[in-house]
Amino acid sequence: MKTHLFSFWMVLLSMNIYADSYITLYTKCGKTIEAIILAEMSAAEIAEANSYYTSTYPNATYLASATQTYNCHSYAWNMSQGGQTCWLNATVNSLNDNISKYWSRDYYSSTEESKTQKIFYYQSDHSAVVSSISGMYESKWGRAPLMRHAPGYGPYSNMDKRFYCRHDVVYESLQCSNGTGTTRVGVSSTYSVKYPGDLPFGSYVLPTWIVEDGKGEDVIGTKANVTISGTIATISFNASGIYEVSYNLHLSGGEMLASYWFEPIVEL
Amino acid sequence: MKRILFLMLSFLLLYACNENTNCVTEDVRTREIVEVRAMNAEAFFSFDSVTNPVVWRTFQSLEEMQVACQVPEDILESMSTDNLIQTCMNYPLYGNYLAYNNELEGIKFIINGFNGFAELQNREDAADRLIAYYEGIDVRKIAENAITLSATKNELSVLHIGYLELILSSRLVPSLYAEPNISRLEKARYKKYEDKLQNSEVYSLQVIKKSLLLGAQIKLKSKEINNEEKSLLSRFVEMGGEVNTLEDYTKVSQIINK
Repeated sequence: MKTHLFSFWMVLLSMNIYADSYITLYTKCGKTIEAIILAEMSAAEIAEANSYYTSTYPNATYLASATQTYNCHSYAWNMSQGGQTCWLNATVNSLNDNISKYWSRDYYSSTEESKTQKIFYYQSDHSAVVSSISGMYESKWGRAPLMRHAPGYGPYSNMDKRFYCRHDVVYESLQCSNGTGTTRVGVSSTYSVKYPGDLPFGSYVLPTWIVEDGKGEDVIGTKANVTISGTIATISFNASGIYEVSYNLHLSGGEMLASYWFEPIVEL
Repeated sequence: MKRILFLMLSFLLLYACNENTNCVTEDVRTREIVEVRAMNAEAFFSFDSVTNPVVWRTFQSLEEMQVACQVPEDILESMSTDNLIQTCMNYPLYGNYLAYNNELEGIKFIINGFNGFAELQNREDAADRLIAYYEGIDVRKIAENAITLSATKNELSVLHIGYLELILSSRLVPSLYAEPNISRLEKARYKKYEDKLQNSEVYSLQVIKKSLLLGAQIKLKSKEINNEEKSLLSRFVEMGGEVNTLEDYTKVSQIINK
């Protein structure tokens, strides 16, 4: 009887499009993230949760109702960037393997507290975003409400253990095999990214090599013979002048992620 | 029925004692001088002076709240097990489990943060009295109260049921999972589970999962399940009552309730 009752109940639940089901999200760079569409709690559960958290955490500001449809990680890393409403667990197979994709060679990278945009509480399985109110964070407390709070204020232990992230476009110089930046016509030099293992990657990341002359005109195949192998370009110039070699990473939507450049001076 | 009546009368009596005999220091201006004393060992502990909004607002972290909510050891030790359980149920931070992505992990943080649970582990009759408390909960009445908004301050809520089932699932008291307690626990769990299913307008899958979680912990202690079933239930427990697909809930339910 009880199993049948449960099965019947589950059939009813499965008719609801918000019943539990797994979906795939993507980081800005295109790495896959596992997430879940969860059925909502009852009105009574939601009301109790709202009441409990507003009275138990009076120094936090209630921003939105308790709901099971999304959690802290989804709010901070996915929904605040326009992603769909869903539940996102930090761990799927190994500790934080799912959530860490957002800042591991992706759109976000580690930073210091004063510059942070997103916060991962690494001993609390929790995430937050920086609030527009100075000194405050905003985070969804599990199934409980979305709250604005001081960085160390909330229902979690070890809230002082925080990892800070932000998005910055990287501008750095390329390494040149001849070192000095001055070379001669017909001489091959290699240009490379110093730490290729740190570069963002993913199905939405598009790398491009650009070689331009002093007028900003593309000279690949004309004044420059270029052989590309990933993050290394071997270039010999056919004419003297000042050139600009750059290796750029863009998202498929056009947004710049990183730009590495070098200005070789080519003499006869 | 007699047992339920007895329990209800006991709680009424104990609550009356608590109202009359707790002596609470009035100075609540700073958290350092908040001192809560239950003078009568027959009463459960009152957190009212700590949770006074003027005092409670001064706490700036969970750790500060936890420190303020500790019950003096001498009071804990002299408290009856029933009152100790009621004190744990009244713990002001009981609902924090809802903020954890894995609620079974969340309840462990709650348990580790309150000395009432440490004392409960020392009681020889903890399993018996916990089950008695669980048996005495009227899931239907709580649902009615939730719908009509008629619950009073000291009545249990839907959040409390989840809290208690997570405590039971946490294996805080290992003897819960030994005979004869485990059979009694399973019988009580089944009753709550069925009552929740029949009141699904109040008890969502989220709350029903906790009955399944407790059922999974009970089943994992039995020898009735094969390796495949054990693996599915273990994964279900590890994920704090979550599964990979909706169909897995039905599988888990079938294993637990067979």
